[in-house]
Amino acid sequence: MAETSQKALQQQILIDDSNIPDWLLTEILQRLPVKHIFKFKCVSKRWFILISDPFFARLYSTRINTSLSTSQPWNLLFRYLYEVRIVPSSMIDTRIALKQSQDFSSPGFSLNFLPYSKHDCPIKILSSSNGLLLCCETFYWQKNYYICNPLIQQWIALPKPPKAIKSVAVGFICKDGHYEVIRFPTANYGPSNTLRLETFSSETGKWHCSIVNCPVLDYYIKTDSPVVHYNGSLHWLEFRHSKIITYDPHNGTNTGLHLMNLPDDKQSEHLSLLGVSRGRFRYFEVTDTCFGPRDLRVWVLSDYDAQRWCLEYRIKFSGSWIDEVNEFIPKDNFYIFPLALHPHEFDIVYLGYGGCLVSYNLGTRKLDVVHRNFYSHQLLAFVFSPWPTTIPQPFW
Amino acid sequence: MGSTSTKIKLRTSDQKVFEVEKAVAVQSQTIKYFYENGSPDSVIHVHSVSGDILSKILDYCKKHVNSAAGKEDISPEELHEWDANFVKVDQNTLFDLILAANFLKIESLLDLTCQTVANMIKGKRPEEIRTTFNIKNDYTIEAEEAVRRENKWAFDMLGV
Repeated sequence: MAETSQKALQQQILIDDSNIPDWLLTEILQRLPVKHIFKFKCVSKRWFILISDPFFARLYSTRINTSLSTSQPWNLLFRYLYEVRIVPSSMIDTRIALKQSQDFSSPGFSLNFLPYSKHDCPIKILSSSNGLLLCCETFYWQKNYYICNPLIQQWIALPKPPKAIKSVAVGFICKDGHYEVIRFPTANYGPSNTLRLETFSSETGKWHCSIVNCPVLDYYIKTDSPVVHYNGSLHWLEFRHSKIITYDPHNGTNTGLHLMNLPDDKQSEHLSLLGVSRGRFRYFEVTDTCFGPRDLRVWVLSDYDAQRWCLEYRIKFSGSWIDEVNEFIPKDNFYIFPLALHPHEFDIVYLGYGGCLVSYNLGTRKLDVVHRNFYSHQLLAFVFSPWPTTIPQPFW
Repeated sequence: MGSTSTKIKLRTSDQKVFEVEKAVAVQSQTIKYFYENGSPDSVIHVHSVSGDILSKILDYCKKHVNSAAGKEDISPEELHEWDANFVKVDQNTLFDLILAANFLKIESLLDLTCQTVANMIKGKRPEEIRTTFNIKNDYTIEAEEAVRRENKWAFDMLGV
């Protein structure tokens, strides 16, 4: 049968382009991977116009989003590396993205195309939204921000923010062809209950500062858990009061930061993160007691407005795990920490474990080593948008 | 009930008449509409579909109706393979099937046939596409080069 289909492939299709109506050409092209479609832009002017039409892109996104069988390619990205100075420059590129599964099939992925790629200090990935990444040259004293689409290798630089701040919490939202970057200090020690929030909007091309209400005097944002955009708001984990700090940039009447509760029975102070899996907002922690049993626990936010959390998984850390990877891990070194949630699968989480990045299936209890010699705490589950998001060209 | 034995009469572009079980015929949203909005005994004229093509399409509908109703013991994999064989036809027939599936509004068949063509052109170079569809390249060399440059990423690597 393989032979027959091979023959069929070799046959030339004798249907003339002019006999194929637009709707039919659209129907056919819609069923190809994005990269193939973009390549076909240079077949002819007709194909170019058809593919470039915003209608085509909308239809494509709708098809992907409503399809049950396909999920968007994604990857785990290193946000920034602690050990940068000891990693040879040749390795940095390969370490930007982890080719950890078939979900990710873009072998050329790198951030090489960005202007700032010094050998010993790769660019920091701060956040992602709608297939775009927000990056910065440095983690402290963030000054030069870049927004890029790593798939189509397009990027722009933002104007410098007005004020130099040592450590900021950052949010990034890209929607309907516009984007916004939001930043504010990661900590406040009082006595003021207001804070200075800076917003860059692609519509104005400028940074805008506003003084907004701060729900607690002495907050402290946990920056190693990536900011999560969900239900129209940005969400940051907060250390000191064990809360979530939220901000809705489009709520004109109720501006300012707000607090949201974490699960009442949460235990971990540090080994925790927020994430979204298949549209569900989740909280993931590893109990961080030095002695005694450790648990992996995942909660889902079952009611956003009531801030009701529901415990989904509670798995006892067990010695059998060590057997799985004991080739690489000394038995006394099983420091374990949460790294990411799988964006498409409820059961799969990513953990740092004895110097390895491992994926763990909470349902089947299966553990797989994804990457060895892994010491970063900073991962981002980056999902590509169904149709490549082009960054509006700056007018500033 | 008893609707399973109800027959619908269809007349094709080449004046062939088919008597089809209702359950099979209404897989086509177009036929369903005409049936529900006309008199039950009248012949529905599927004027843009030939007898040969309609006969094939009815085979398809029958297979899928029987499999969905459990009348035929066929696994999803086997049905998938049956579909794959169904579209192993010459290109003209394939395009006739697409046009008919569109006219008759049979979503799953339209998907199957369009996906088949998509698979055929997947991975081809733009030059090959031009041959396949007999397309005259109406770009100037410079213009084509510009489009290629603009979409360099799509030519850079395989995958995705």
